[in-house]
Order: sequence, then C-alpha cells, then structure tokens
Amino acid sequence: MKSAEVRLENISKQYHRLTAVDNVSLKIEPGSMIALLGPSGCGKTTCLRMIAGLIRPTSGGIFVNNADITHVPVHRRNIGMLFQNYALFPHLTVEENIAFGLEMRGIKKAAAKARVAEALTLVQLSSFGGRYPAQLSGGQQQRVALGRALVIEPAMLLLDEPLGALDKGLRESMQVELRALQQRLGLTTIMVTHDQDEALTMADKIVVMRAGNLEQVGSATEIYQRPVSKFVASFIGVSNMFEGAVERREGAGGLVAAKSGIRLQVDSMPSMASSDVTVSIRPEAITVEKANGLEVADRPNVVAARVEQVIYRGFISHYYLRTQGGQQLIAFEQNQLHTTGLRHTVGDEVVARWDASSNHVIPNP
Amino acid sequence: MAAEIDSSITQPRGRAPAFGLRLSASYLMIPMLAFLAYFFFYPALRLLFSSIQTQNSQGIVGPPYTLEHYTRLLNVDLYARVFWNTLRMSVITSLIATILAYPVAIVMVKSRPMVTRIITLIVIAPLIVSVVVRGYGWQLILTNGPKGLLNWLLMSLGIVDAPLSILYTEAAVIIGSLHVFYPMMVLPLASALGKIDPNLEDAARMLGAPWWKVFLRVTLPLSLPGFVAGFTIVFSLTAGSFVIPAILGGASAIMLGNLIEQQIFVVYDWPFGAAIALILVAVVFAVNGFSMWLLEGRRLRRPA
Repeated sequence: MKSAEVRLENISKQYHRLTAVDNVSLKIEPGSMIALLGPSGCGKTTCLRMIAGLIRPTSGGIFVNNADITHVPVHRRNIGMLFQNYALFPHLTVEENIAFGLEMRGIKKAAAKARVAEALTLVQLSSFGGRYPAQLSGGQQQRVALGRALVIEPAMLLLDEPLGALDKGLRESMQVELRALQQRLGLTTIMVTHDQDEALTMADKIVVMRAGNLEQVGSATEIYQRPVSKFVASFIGVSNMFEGAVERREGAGGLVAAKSGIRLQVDSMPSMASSDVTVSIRPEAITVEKANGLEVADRPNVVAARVEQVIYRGFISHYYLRTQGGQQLIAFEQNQLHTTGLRHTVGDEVVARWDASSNHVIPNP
Repeated sequence: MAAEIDSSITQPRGRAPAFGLRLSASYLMIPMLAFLAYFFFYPALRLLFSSIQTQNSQGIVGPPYTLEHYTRLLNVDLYARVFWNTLRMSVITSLIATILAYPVAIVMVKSRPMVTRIITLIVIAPLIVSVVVRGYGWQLILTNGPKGLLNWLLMSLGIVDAPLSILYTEAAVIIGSLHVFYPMMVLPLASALGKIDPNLEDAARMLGAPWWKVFLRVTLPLSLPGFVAGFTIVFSLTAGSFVIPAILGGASAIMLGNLIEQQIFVVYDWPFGAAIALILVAVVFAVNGFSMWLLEGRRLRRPA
C-alpha cells in the first residue's frame, strides 16, 4: 500500500461563536502513526473528522501528498476509518460489510471475493465471513471494521477512539496488534484518543491538543520527559510541580527557589524573559528514604516530608508525601521482590530527594 | 405457643403476593373487558353469524346456513370491482405516502430538536381537525369546473386550459386519504430512522458511497421496520375508510366501506353487508399478519 503524507495548513472550525479547532497546522510523515491526544472538547475529533471529510473546515487546507483535498467529497477521498462503536452495517454479513467499499468502487464480484478473503485472513476472522455483526464479540467486530477499512487500500487510516469500547486486557493486546499491522503495511495513520497509554503505546508522534490548539507535538519520550507546559506535564502521566522563581543561572542550568521553600538545582534552563517558572518532577525520579535525623537544611533537591498515604500497586508503590512547607509530593518506587512489605508506612518521617537532571523547567506564560 | 406466633406471622405473608397482588392487577382489567365483550365481541360474533345466514322474503335473518354471501362479493362483477379498487387505492395511497414521508422523516431525524418538534407539530396538526371537515375542505379545493380552487389556480397560472375533473374520481379519494393518513406513515418512519446510528452513514460515505447509495444500501434497509409499520397502518386505515370516499369519491370511486353502508342502510341486506365487513377485516388482518411475520425474526435484516 502506498503511504501518504498528510498536511494540515491553518485549519480552523468555527461553530457559531465557538472555535472548535483554531488555526492548526500539522505535517504527518508518510507511513507514520500519530495520536491526537487531549481531554474531551479539545478539538481532536473535529480535526479527525475534517481530515475524513465528514466536517468541512471553516478555513485552511488539507493536503495529501501535496494534493489539496479540502473540497473533495467524503466518498472520493479513499480514507479508511475505524469508529469507536465499530459502525458495522447490522443488516450485512461480515463478508458483505468488508465487500461494501469494493462494491462502491465497482470492483467485479469475483475479484472482490478474493480481496475480502484476503482481508478476513489479515484480521484473523477467516471462518466468520457468513456471520452477522451482532453474532460477534466487541473485539471481533472491531477486527471486521479494520478489515473493512483496509480492504479498500486507503491512502490513510483514521482511528476515532478505536479501542475505547473494549475491556482493558483486550484493548492492550489490540493496541499492540494494530500497531504491528500499521507498521507492516506502512500505512499513514491518525488516531484520536483521550487515553495517554494508548497514545504512548501506539504512536510515533503524539500531538497534545487543548482548547482547539496544538499544545505540543513530539515523540512519546519528548512529551513525557520534556513537556512544554504545565498542562502537558499533568495530562501525560503524573507530575510534581513546583512554582518558583529563578534564583541564579550557572552555565546551562541554575537554581530555582520554589514558593514552598524548597530549592531546586536544575541542569538545563530554557532561555526566557521571565524568571517565573514551574519545575516538574516525575514521581519515579524521587527516592524516598527514612529520615533518621538526616540534615536537610539548605541542600537543593532534597526535602523532608511525612508519608500521608501509600498505595501498593504490585510492581510499584505510590507514596503520597506532605512536605513541611505543606506541598504534596508523589513518589513511585519499584517494589523489591526480596523485601516483604512496603519500605515506608503512613506517618513515617522521610527524606525525598532526586537528581538535578530530573528537574524539568517550564517557563510560566 | 412459639409455633402459633410463628405461623400467624408467616401465613399472611406467604399468601399475600400469591392471591392479593397477582390477581388484583387482573381485576383492574375487568371493566374494560366487560365493555369490550358486550359492545365489541358480542356484536362481532353476531355479525359473523348473520353473514352465514340467509334473509327470507319477510326480511328475517335465519337458517339455512350458506357461504353464498362471501362468494357473491367476488362473483358479482360490480362488487368485485369495488373490492379490487379498494385494495388498489389503499396500496397506491400507502406507496405515495411512503415516498412523501421519507424526505420529511429524514429531515426530522437530522434536524436540531427544536426543528424536529416544529415539523412533528406540522405533520400531526391535521389530526386535530375532523375527517369530515377535511373531506369537505378537499371538496372545495377539488371541485370540478372552473370554480374549483385548484382548477382556478391552475387556469389562472396558465398550466391548464380546461378545468380538470378530479372530484368524484379515485384520484380525489387518494389525495384525501393521503392527507388524513400521512402522519401515520411519517411517525413510524421517523422513529425507525432515528434508531439508525449516524456513524453507519458516515462509515458508508467513507467507504466510497455517494449519498444516494448510502440511502439505498444503508438507510433504506435499516428503516424497513418503520416502513412496514407505516405501510400497514396506512393500508389498513385506507382500506377501511368510509368518510373520505363518501365525500370525495362519489359514485365512481366506491370503496368497501361505502358498499357495506349501502348493504346495511339502503339495501337492508344485512348478511351480505356482514360478509363484506368480515372480508375487509380478514384482508386487513392478513396484511398485518404478513408484516408482523416480516418484522419478527429479523427477516428484513437478511439480504434477499
């Protein structure tokens, strides 16, 4: 299958006074999979439906391999799409569902039959061709929908929260399977999700959206390790955030004094006008130790705290700490197999510390 | 002592639901059943009975028993023509109603709630006015000769040169029936269309179907239950109508309802009138039964 490059140029969608999508530009590399990630109402679904052609943008253009498709009607776009509720035709069998797109393209019955069989093999449902959608499980229905979308050899694949209706275990295995298939076919794919795990698992590139705008575009590691805003830092994973001001700069890094009284040594500080910053620290970067009369004093990246809550999650434990300055800290620690039980319990006086490299500075707007 | 107390507590408890609760719900139906038994089932049985009896020269209905009245409807050319005309006009009315109802039902389903409510109101508004009033209203509009509203309009617009003769034809009866029974088609259709997941139409479009193919391959087949329901209702009501053909059909577009009225009140041939009425009921039952059979077991979902 050919891989298409998809480009959005300044597209906007206005509903009366509400701006659903605000001047978004985005380039999607051929054969890659991107995830539009954001809370509900951020405009991610509107973006997807504009690419599909189901919604007409108020302004801007959509290009596939440099051809303007902004005004091409839906049925001539040759785009495959997976819907959250599968959207299988209930009155048609699995085979007829998959053959639908071929029938619309005027492909002869015999040729279509061979391609339908091929698609059924691809989604591992060869023996289910004669069934009706209502006779299949949710996972099987989504596979049929996938087969139906792929059999037309689409220029790209759109996924609208495709696995949202499946239970957790099935969802995770489908994520891996879908990703493997997408890579094997080299099919440009755009996915909409509000599930960060899904985005991290499946996408080459994640686009975090907020209020109709692109907040950050980058790989999973970039988004997770170097969020550009407090919104991204708190939306993807969990972050400890310290509001503060730059005290001094030393080379690339410097020292930040947080409002809660903690001092933070940072390795790298972005250049910015204001000295007003937020420092975010991922919970897994924090090490929690028994206080044992340890002197915290003025040392940076160390804080004395009391354990408020402990959540045992099997592989890791979550520690909710309260510093003397009153700020809450969350720390994740991997549980050691050889130890029996938790390292700290509620009420323990502890010291939390972390590396300077774990401090990520976000300039406040 | 202990056992005595025990039983006095458990007994009424155990019995109460068995008798009091279960039967009391059925008791509530007795007044209605009594009403129906006396005013509907009993007369219907008498009708059935008199349709197989004969009327002697004194006008008394009684034995011998015969099926002659049933065969007479189809054997006498005039009556057979009324029978077939009734069926034909009912089918035509139902089909035209379907064609007119689909676009309106689709708009109702696709519009915002406020618009949907307004359209619904417009569709059902005619039901507020009595059928007789509407019949005479159509008579004014369809009057033959240059004074009829429709003829006057068509002639002043220069569409026709000579006045059309619509009143007292089958066309007039069909127009009147359409007006009266149209809501019965729109409402079940809109209900069926509203149950179709809008994503299905989007999915079909994305798979390459232009709008008319989306309609033919997805919307239409999935709305068939509504169509069958609407068709059955409109057919049944049209086949059994009396007022509209009496006012708009005159002598040339007589339907079974009018034939029954003539047999009962003009000819005083009660056995024959009863037979026609029962044949009409049988036809309507057959159509209803057939559509139920189509709807159940998802026969409509299976491709032909």
